[in-house]
Amino acid sequence: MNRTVAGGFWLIIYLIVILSPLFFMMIGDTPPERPFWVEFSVGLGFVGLVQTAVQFALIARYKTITAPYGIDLILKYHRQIATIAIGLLLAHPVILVIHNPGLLGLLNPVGGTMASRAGNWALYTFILLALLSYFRKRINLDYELWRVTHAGLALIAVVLAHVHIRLSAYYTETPWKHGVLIGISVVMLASLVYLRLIKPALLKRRPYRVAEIKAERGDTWSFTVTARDHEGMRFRPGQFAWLKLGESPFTVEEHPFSFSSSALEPKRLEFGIKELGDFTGGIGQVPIGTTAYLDGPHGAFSPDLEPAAGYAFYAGGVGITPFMSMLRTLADRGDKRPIVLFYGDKSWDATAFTDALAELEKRLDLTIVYVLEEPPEDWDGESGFIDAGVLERHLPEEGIERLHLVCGPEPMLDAVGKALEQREVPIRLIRFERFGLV
Amino acid sequence: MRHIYANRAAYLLAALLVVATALFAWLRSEGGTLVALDDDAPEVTEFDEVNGWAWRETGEQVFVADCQGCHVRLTHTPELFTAEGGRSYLIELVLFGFDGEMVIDGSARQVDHPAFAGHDDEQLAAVLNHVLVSWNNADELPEDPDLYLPDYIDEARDRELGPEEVAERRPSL
Repeated sequence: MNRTVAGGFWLIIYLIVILSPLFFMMIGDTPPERPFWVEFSVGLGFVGLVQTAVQFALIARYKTITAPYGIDLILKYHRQIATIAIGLLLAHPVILVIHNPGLLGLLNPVGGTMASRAGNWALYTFILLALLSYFRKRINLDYELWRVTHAGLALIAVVLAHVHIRLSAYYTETPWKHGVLIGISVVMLASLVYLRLIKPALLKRRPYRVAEIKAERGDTWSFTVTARDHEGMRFRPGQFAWLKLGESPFTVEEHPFSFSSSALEPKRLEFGIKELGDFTGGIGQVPIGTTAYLDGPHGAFSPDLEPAAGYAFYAGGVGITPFMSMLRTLADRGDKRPIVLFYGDKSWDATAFTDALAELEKRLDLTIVYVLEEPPEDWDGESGFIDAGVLERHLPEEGIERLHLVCGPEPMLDAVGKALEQREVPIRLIRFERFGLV
Repeated sequence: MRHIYANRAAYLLAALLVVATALFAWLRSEGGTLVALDDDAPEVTEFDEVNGWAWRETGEQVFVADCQGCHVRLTHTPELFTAEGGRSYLIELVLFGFDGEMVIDGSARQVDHPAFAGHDDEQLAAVLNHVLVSWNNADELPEDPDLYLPDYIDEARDRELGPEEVAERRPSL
């Protein structure tokens, strides 16, 4: 199945699941009709609840589901639709109260009926969960603690919502209908069991060993692991994997990193890791020989996924990492297509992999354009940011029809996006990879 | 490009969910069903008129609009109605609300019932009658139950109770 067909297939399945409660509530024994706004409010509640349950499946990293879109898009959708789902759930009581202000007392979290209390607390739990996610970095909430809290609160909220539905006992007066709703939630919650128990158990059979940690410039490390008694991991250049360190693959501490090595070496895998947080800050001090586990490969940012006459790569800072893998793979394959790499960073001293890139220039039809924000005094290259002017000077006319791959921090992506638009690069030829996956 | 399309798709999907829900609500509010609809409407009883006042339609309308969101069936109401002080308690409950502990099926629950004093006397009398005779509740009523009339509601309005006071006046069952 090609990616478009597979993408369409999973989209249809997704819509069927999300809308199924509305369908089931209309077949078989149906309770008496109620005013439009009451039914609309209840319908939003059902859709919102199933959507929140489906969130568990979205984050379970099922490769069959994520492959057509790329897991980065799935996780982004997880965040977007979470906001929408909570909005739908919030609309449920608000519409009821607007329609009938006499029900205002039911919003009292310690008053009202048992059903309304369960519903209120489910909603508050969802809102707390969302707030913790939005403000996690601002309140310096530990990433691992947040992940555990996130899953726990989601679980509690879904259970409370089901209690609310059961006690409200309108559509669920027909037991099989509530059975269907509970079934959907249980299947979705099983994804959590898959992600946290089954998948790690499978990873246990495929351990890696930390083989080399090499300091690059710009607080960046080349972190290499080798497969222990198995064939390693086949990946496409540009993809990434979640890295876990230590003897137990069941740890919740795991972080996604892009491969920086050649895809032709599946047993020896290298990641480019920049010191940015608690985990990456100590990456240079990990003892050689430490056991590691990899959940991957993931991602749909790869030159291998579509044909191209040549490439234009745009890297910002540590966004160079996936391009290192692409360039190394293309070099190992003896690829003759023209490539231009625009590589922007703060300063020359902060620019990683310059020696390796110089070697790759010899093996490929590769032109590298460094763009430094704070260039040294004797710098005769480009300075500032990758903008329309830089593209005008270094992207040849024929280069416009190449595949354009962009990876870096958000502002860099926006700036390059505008520059490409000004250079009249067709949008169908541009692919972005955003940071901040988690 | 993937991200641009993905953003548009997310908004489109959200809009689709709301539209589908609105369609569901419209169909359901029209009494629509996709397969078989069991007529769950209360049975017609001999109590449909009280002193010549036809309350039935009003009672159903008020119940559907204002009660059904929380109550599907209220089968313990005849027991309250026949208990000492229960008849006036039910009027006070719908007029002034309830805030306190309620023992239902043997278990105590904290309940905050809204007040419906904004409804007119006919609506409240009708909805109380509706509850008293629906879901086979009529079988539990005494032979001549003296169902509610709008005048009874009007008289009770002067009591001006608070929801906590109503809770204290609830008969023990």
